[in-house]
Amino acid sequence: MSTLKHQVREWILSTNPAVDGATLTDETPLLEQKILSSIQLMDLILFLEHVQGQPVDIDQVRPENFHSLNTICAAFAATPE
Amino acid sequence: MERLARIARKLSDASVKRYNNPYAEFQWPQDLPMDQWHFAPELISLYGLEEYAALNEPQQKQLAFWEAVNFFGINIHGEKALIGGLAEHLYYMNWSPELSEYLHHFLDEENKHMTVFGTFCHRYGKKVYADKKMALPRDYAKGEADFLFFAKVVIFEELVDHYNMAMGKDERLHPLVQHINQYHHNDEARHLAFGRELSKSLFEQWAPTWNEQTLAGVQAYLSNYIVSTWREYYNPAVYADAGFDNSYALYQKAWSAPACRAHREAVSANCINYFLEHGMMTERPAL
Ligand SMILES: [Fe+2]
Ligand SMILES: [Fe+2]
Repeated sequence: MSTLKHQVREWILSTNPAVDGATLTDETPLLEQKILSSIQLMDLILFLEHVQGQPVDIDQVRPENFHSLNTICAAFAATPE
Repeated sequence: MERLARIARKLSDASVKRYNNPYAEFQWPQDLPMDQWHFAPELISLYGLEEYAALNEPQQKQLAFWEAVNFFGINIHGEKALIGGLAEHLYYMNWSPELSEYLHHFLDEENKHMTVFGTFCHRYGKKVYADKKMALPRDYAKGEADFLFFAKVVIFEELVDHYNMAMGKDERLHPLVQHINQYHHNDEARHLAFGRELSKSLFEQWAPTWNEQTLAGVQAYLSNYIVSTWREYYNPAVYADAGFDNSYALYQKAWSAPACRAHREAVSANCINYFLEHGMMTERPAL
């Protein structure tokens, strides 16, 4: 698993203790299953900026890019993983 | 709606009387003196933390300047969404003509506010901090989207106005910053009077037709909106610009600090009490 994906995964699990790590896959629909709320999305963006040490591309801040761990990493990884 | 039409007419008259031209009203110095305050220290998002207390005065003033750029940026992004929603409600369905007439003033005034805030941010901050709020797609019951839009307007403007009122008359601040805050407050007082009445009236009209699930959704949505609006007041990019190298940790610390939470609760109290009093909210959101 890529480093960023691993970090985001850990972040999601630590922010939402109710989420079962065993069932959280790279394709789990995070918004549909209400694993991520709108407030957590703002937090997640700041987390992405923090771990990558640079601002996210604001044009990519769109709901569809937060669909799953895979889409998050595809949209926001600062360097291709 | 008759009461609302009457209020809208009065507010339109007041807007005409106080019609202003920000292009003539504001003089913009080339630079701002960094040895002055550009944001009230007590309103700085880190106020109450030991990290803030440990700064010397020039550092506190530098942080205050970036907090001003952030605050004016919050205004810009909020007003941008506001203008879009106001435009949608012009000549809306069967709303009375008085409402459209006032919405024209409301929209015009917001557009002018944005130019003032935008000038400050671009001229002195050389940027507008990015907007990281995102609306998630969702379904609405009849009347729900209209109500939620104007309820959000009230929340957004109430919080901003608390800051504007405090800083508009704060003699410690650079005169330009005082002026911007006072100018904004003068218009916002009317917008708030209108927004409060309209959101209440929309709620009274539509809520009886909503089921329990919709009502619970409204409560959750408004609570989320207050919290995410507050989140923007704590911006790691501000802390980085002010020279902190642990900006993200500071953001997390400030958000969860009891002193900061108490501040958010105090500033939001008016607005939340109004919503609770009229049944538009059923419980106090956790801030
Ligand atoms: Fe405004
Ligand atoms: Fe306004």
